[in-house]
Amino acid sequence: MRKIITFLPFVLLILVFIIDFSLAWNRQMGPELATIREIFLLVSFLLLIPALRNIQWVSDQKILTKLRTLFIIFIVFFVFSLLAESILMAFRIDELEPKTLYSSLPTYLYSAIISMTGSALTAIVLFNLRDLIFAKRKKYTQRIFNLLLLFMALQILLRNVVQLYFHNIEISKLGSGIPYYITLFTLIVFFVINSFRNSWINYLNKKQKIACFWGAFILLPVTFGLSYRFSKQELIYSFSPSLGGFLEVTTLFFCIYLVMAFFGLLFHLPTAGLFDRKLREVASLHELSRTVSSVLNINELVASITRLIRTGSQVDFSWLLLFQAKENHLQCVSTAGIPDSVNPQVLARLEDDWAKTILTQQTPLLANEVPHEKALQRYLSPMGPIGSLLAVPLVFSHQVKGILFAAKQEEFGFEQEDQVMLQAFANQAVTALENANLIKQVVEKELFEQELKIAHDAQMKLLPKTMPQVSSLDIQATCITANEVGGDYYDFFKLEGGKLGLAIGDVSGKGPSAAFYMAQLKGIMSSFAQTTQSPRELLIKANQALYDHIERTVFVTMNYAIIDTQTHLLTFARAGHCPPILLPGASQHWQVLEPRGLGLGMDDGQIFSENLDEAQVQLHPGDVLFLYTDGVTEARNSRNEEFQEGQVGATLTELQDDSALEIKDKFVKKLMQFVGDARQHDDLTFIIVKVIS
Amino acid sequence: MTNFEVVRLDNGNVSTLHIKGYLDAHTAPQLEQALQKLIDENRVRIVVNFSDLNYISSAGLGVFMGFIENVRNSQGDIKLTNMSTKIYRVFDLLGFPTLYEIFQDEKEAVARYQIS
Repeated sequence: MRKIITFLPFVLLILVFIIDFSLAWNRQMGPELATIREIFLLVSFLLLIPALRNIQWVSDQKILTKLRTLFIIFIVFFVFSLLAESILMAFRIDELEPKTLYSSLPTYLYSAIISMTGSALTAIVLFNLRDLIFAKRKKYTQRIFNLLLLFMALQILLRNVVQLYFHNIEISKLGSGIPYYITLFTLIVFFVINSFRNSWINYLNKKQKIACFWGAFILLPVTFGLSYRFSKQELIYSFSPSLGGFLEVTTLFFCIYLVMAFFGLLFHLPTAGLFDRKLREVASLHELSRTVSSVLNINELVASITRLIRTGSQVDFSWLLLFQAKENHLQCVSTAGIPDSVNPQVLARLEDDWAKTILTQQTPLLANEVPHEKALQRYLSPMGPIGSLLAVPLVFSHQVKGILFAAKQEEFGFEQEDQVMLQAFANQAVTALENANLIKQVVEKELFEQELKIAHDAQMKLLPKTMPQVSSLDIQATCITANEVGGDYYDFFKLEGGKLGLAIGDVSGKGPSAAFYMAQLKGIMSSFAQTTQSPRELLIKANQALYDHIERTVFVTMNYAIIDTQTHLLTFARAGHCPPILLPGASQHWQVLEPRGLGLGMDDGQIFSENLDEAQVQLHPGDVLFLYTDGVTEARNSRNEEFQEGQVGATLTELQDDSALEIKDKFVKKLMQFVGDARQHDDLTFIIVKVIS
Repeated sequence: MTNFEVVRLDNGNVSTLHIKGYLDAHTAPQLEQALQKLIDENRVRIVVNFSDLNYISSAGLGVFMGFIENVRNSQGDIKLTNMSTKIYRVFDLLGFPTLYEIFQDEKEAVARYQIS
């Protein structure tokens, strides 16, 4: 089927040519044959139209391309019609009779070629007009256009009837007959109705509108002239009345459309600039909204704000001042358009009244004659001559967070609308900035809390999970951590010869670094514990190991005790730590074991060892040894009273006869009771050793 | 809790810092600033008077440890005086008396400087 359609037009055309050359030339063509010939021509033309539609520059949807195409086609027509005069004269063909179509080959060819190419071009014109009309389609657009086509067809048909059957030459007088006039009138009405559809004008920018205006201006005489010429030049119609009619009617349509477009463009011109600006401003505000919701980096945000103002509102300079949280004075955080030679912080020095008014009354400032206002001139002088200035406050929660400036070199550069626009900008901007700040704070807090948790978890992992199982000793230990990460440490070591090492220590300070040192300490203790049975020696080694790495301001206190599980001899040394409490089973008088000793990390070794004593105590069954950190004695209640050594001793005395586990639980309970609602500010750590047998 | 004050008095080539209130992690920076200022001015003969100090934490102790080396390298010192029993105990347990000169009264410390 497709192949038939592709070949049919050409077949028909060939038939037409055959008819022409064989019969018509010899004037043997009657009206019936003429009609058949005409139908052949029309059908082949209609079949070729889809092919035309597929040509790239015909189907290109861009408005400007269409306008350009129309312009070119009509100029070509015009130029050609001028040339045509001379061509005709050259061939001495200036008679206007249809019969003369077949009088000579040149006339025939001339007419044939013009008709066919002219029709093709005209079809393109009609396509483009259709696209322009359909640019902003409404409900009835299609229907009205179809009616237009219908009436065009009717008009052409009537013309044909006149031409073929009435042989009326004076077509330019629009023939005769009321039906003819009626259809013509209706046709023109539809032309006009469809010509109102020129909303594509709205999509042009100012430059394009001006260019189209002048294009239309040039085309007006061109097309009207052409229209007139077409009506005069019979040779166009003589080859095919329908095609010729199509040419004439479409040109008429184009004329009317052109007139409407011309006036449309004319009326758009005064506001074209403003229109463009509005579009740009809206686009800028749009972009700001998008930026606002996606950019969380404050530096990028402030740079975007000044940049968008500059490009969106066509100002020469823009700068943004913000109050910096801690300093409570304004800082210039971003500029656009300002020369590099100007130090931005100069713009943050606002001392004059006009600035104070903006800040205290939260009102904007619009100055269109800056040279007449000395205070403003002084402020703006680093940027060269400035004619108009606009400054709006950034207000959030009734507080002024900063000021946004826009400046132009020309005077009277800003209107009330611009102030409204800039304030809208500023409101968006300040919301964005507050968001960004908030998010930053939340992220920082999150990170901090995560750090704490990591440190805390690490610390917990370093403490022993089980109590050493020794038959003659009942041992319990606990570490109750405070919210902040502390540096408390305790450990047990099974040593050679049935001895047990116990260590308890405290890294000064809090936070992740304390936990880190605690980990280091554990490593050191673990590596040295097995190498010696002298607590003093161990502490000296530990001090040596620590001193080089530890910060000057940090120190570690430590108690290290070795208990012989068989003889119950206790040997220990105290490196600056809280002295352990011993509650002998036989009495109720608790003692403090306080040999001399410096903290670890305070001295490089000599003074440390010179001042470190090792003590020995013989333990007996029933004795309770209490090793602890200062979190216990310094535990505070809501009255700011400390638990203190005395209460520790007293509590232990109360619990003397209990098992280590019971002592531990009850002691903790007592401590917690004491502390009550008050916040725990340090880790509570202790080891209980009860000698059993 | 966070009440802390440092009052500086210059007497000849000796400067005395009266520290009052609570010296902990929050307030330690104030003491740091005061000591740093003295060092910047090359006033390295320093006496710290603890008569009005109620509490000192490990952070507070750390401040002294942080500056002592520097000060002593410049032929100066930080002498500690007028500690309450409680405060002195804190220093004593740690072994500070072996590393720092601690006096009952400020006058003794100042006098010490005149000798050396």
